[in-house]
Amino acid sequence: MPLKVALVGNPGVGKSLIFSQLTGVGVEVGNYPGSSVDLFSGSSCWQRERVEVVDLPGVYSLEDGAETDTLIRRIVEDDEMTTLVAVLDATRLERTLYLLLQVAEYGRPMLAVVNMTDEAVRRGISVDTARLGELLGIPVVATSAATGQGIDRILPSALLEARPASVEVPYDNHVEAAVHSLGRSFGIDRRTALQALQGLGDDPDLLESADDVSKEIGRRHRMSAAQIIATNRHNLARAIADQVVSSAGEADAGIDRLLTRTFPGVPILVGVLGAMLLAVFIVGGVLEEYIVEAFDFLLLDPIAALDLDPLVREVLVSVGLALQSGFGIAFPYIFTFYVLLAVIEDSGYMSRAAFLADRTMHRMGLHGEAIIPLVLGFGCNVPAVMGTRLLSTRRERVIAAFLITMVPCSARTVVISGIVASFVSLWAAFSIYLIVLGLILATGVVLSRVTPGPQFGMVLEMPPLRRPRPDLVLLKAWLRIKEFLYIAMPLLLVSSIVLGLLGYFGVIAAFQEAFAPISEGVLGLPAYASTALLFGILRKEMAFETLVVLAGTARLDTVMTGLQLYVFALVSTLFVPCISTIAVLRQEIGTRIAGLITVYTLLLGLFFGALFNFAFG
Amino acid sequence: MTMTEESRDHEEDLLEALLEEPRPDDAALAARLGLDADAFERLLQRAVTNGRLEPGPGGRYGLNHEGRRVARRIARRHRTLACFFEQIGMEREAADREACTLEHGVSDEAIARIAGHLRCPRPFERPCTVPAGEGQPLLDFLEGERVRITYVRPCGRFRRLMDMGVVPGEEVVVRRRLSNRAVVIEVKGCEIGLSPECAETVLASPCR
Repeated sequence: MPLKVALVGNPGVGKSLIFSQLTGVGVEVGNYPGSSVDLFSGSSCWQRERVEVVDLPGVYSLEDGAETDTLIRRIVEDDEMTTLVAVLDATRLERTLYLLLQVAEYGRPMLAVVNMTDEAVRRGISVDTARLGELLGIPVVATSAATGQGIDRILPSALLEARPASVEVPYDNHVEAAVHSLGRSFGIDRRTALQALQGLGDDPDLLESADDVSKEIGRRHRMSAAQIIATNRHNLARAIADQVVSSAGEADAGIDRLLTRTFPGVPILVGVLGAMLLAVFIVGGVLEEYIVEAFDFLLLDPIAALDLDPLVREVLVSVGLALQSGFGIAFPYIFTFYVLLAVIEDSGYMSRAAFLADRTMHRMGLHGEAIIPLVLGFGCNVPAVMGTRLLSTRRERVIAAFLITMVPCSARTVVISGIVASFVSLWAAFSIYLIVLGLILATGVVLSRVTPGPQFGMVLEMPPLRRPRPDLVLLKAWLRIKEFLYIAMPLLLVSSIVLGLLGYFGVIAAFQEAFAPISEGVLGLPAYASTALLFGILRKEMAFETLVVLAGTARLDTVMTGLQLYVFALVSTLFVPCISTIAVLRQEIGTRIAGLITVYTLLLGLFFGALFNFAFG
Repeated sequence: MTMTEESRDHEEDLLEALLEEPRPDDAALAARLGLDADAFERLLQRAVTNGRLEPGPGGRYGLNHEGRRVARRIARRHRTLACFFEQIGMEREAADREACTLEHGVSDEAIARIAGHLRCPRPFERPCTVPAGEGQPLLDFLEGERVRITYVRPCGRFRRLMDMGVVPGEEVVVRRRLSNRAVVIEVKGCEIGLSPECAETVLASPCR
């Protein structure tokens, strides 16, 4: 049986960093069978044996009832997993121990890793790992993933010394009695009985009886059974932490106050987001040119020079174009954006922003935390739509996905900057952003009215503000861009080939003819612009590239008026998300809503294009 | 014990056994109830006549809605009594045996009272004690105040709050009150932010 090690821990304990140091760069993103939650897995070597390392999503509990937790429970139970590595945070040992105690109940071989020891030392906190090991009954390794210290001890320890934890949570008498009686009635183990008391499990008879018992416990205690169980675990975590942690000094709030007040918090938030976009505009524009040229020189020109069958050539050119624009967008724009985003996230500003935005988000039927996928959408809509899984209800996920597809992603930034900023004015380019943001707000308000549902509020950890470390920022951006390449690139390749073939067989020419009246009459654009818009469905930035090709000149202002260029950019920004986004929408929230979004954005784009054409034409 | 009482007890034991094990081995079940095959068959028939069992697939009898209701009531009585006997110092097995006998005759009122007696007002001890009463929502406290959670309404993001350590009895510090009535509290050495809807569901009283 291959050796398999899984990392379990709270969000933000440095699990991913440990993972990437254990596995190097060969990371795969995949789904666990029967689930849509992404898992990072990679392999490492130990004494010439291959060890598979899985990085489980960060969670606060195994028993939250969310899809992620169910998946993690299944993996933790999985006999194929050689060792579970529970990652703790030395600066927040008590809170992170709570999850470890849940994992311990599965009786699987375990290892505890106390990470962030460098940060702890800075804050005057020390953890007695030897004592912690004694109390838990498992080996404990102290690490600092940021400096790489102790990482080399994780695998040897996980494979040689790991064992089931001996620590056991002392539960309240009534809970123990209920566990005992459920265990006897249904022949289940302690852990299954505890989960049944919290309403988790798949045997309806068991859940029904457990519900009766837990209601009774609830009546006696003025606390639900789940709360009592959680409290017992927290108390043990505290008792353990009290014995092993010694700390001196206290953190102070400082500038944190400024960031979370309406003033100057909101202007700071707007400034930060604006500066990010501007930086992506400038840096991306410069870098993209080099990459596109390199691809022309190394790939596309040689293909054009070959003497090939026209159909084969068409396919090869499509593949080349997909690679060119994939990398031409991915690295200059999306990577730049992800680097800036990682800076903001690592500084701890994101959760402050979420609270500032909470009230505005409420109007749109969302919570402040939805700002994270929405901002992610400025990079690429595809991972942003996948990021909506973090939201707690389906209603929020649908609204957020709807709005994300309207967020001007990097590819749309290319269109706006390449057409409007270059040939009209920088202010005109910004006005497109304002219009789109206004429409996003308006759409959100309408959506929250037409899809009523409860709002549960938001509970977010506020990590301490700190200066991000450049190497960690780059690493995070790198992991994200890799995810983008894995998900979006295949879609890009396939759709590019399909479109190439459609062009080859004359379907596109027919479309252009059919669409010409709308293009000319309603939008006031030349007929070939409709083809460019169609290519934009494939990949947004292709709208720009195709327009240049069809217009026969890169000096677009010589063939189209300023208004035409503006309308073209506006329409292609608004209308129909790109094909990769539609595919991921379908996967995440279903065909019906994906179709609805497509139709809505199509109409929205045409309507606003026509409006500008008639108002200013 | 009169004849009818005895047959009632047997029937309740049967229903309880079927709740625990829906597809038992008939012979083993009869033995457990202390009955021979004929008496067991009569017992099954009586339970069917009383509307508590229904024939299921393969000719086996299973609990219907009413049967399940009765069985659960008996099981609850059993649990309450066993728990009570254990609390007053009996061994688990002895407590169980005693509960098995008493569960049929005891009144619902007695069970409710025993349950009330078992109810433990403070299941854990903490350095600061709470005065009686439910406390006030977290929104009502000032920045820097140390408070003790007294109650968390089981709604909304209740589970997340619980997993982050916001449970009754926990001492927390109100760190900041944000512009939109959201609150940042420090719990277990970590700062967490609660939006207004969540902050409203958490009741606390000041710690002195």
